[in-house]
Amino acid sequence: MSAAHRSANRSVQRPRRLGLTPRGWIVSLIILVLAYLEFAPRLGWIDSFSLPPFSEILVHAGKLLVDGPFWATDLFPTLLAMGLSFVIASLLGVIIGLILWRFPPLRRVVDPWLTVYYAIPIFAVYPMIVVLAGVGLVPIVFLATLLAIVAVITATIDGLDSTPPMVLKLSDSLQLSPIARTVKILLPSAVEQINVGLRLALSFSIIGVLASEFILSTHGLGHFISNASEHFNMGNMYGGILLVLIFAFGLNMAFSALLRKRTRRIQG
Amino acid sequence: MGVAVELHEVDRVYGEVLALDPTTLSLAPGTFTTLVGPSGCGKSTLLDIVAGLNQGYGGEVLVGGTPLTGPRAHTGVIFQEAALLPWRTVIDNAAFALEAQKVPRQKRREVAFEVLRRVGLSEFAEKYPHQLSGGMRQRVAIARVLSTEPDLILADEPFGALDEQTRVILGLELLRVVRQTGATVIFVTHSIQEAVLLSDRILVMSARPGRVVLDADVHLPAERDPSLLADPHATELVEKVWGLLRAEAEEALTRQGGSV
Repeated sequence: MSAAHRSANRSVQRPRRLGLTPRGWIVSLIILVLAYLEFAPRLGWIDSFSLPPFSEILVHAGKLLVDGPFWATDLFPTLLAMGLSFVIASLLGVIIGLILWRFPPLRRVVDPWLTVYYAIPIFAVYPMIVVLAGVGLVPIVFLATLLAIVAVITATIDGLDSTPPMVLKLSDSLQLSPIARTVKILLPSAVEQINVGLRLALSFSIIGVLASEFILSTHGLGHFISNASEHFNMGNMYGGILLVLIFAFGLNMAFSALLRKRTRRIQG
Repeated sequence: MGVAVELHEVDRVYGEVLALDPTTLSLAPGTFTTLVGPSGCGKSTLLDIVAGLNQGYGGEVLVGGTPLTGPRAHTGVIFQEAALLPWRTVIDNAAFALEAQKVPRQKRREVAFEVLRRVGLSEFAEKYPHQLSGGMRQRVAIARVLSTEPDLILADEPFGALDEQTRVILGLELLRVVRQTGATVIFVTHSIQEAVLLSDRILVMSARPGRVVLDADVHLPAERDPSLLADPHATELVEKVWGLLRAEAEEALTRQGGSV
């Protein structure tokens, strides 16, 4: 197939708007924003103390990444807290979802709470958590887990609800044990929706940990950024923010890619 | 070999609605019996009761002389939809009933491959259900049932969603494979032709409450093929069942019209 033919094919699949493919537009916009962040401070459009040129932020972030103490006191605790919150929220969320789905009266009691849950600003209870658990890893993981878990619970219940009745009847007729039924029928049926919940839980874990570190921690990436900003250390502040963006983006992309690979195997 | 099924005064009440009138039936081992009737006549209820999937009925069901207490390992159920697990390959779906019975992996895959061969799907063993047509999916469900060597097969409108030609072909195929096993079959359908073509005995049911209104033996040669529908006995039977069902359907329509 010739190159011209290939590009003709692609332009059929991805229609061009105003001369660029959607991907082309995304890349151009990113380049435009980065160019502005680089040159606006250099050209004096923006005060270069308030916003250093992007290349300097990048270099600073790079220095932080090879800085041992920064890893030990800031980056590692943050990644650990995010990982713990995500894993706990995922496991507990799926288990609680299964229990609520299995016992409809319980579900009816809990359902209104689940519905309004994300309307409650969970960070408002942080003083209470400080009183109960002090400061450190535990309250941070607790708060981030609280934020993430309900997304997993509701997604699990949604997924289980969508199990075809015939498949449930099949599992009855084959006399599957409760565990076999859960592992071989219920969870695989619900896995697509659970994955949606897990993706949300990942984002909520990241948000929950960073926000908690801003307000109730003496170390961690969130604390590092807030501390830098309070001391007008713009290099550390922007370097930290850039690292947060890169980590959040990278983790989400990696997780999505992992899920896509899994579902592609099933859906061909 | 097949097993005898006996129902003594079996009824089912939902709230205040009598879904199934007290019914007494005796099915000989190895026979193919079809339940025909309008929707809501309790034929699926009756089938679920014999499958052990519908508890809370009145009366007694004996399968092979033993009172029924729940689902049996040697009863195979073929559902309206194929009820395949989309995340499993064809062979893993066919092996699923054996997996539920804790047969070791190597052994159950061997059996599953053999039953897939019998329904003509051995080439598709490693495909996923979404890669198959509706008829092929239902064949996988048949293979799954055959894998456990059932002595009783219950089929609840298994080919209802398929086109007429596929339905006839699959029906005859099912008949052929179950004849080889000698299993007793109860087959629910609302296609009169399908009932006459496949069965040794036809039970016609009426709606509200579900009740057997005709119990007819089908006197056609053991080797069935679609041309037998032109046999005078077959056309006579189709007429007779159709007459009963038309009266039922008209009554149901009037009732619905009256209640609106």
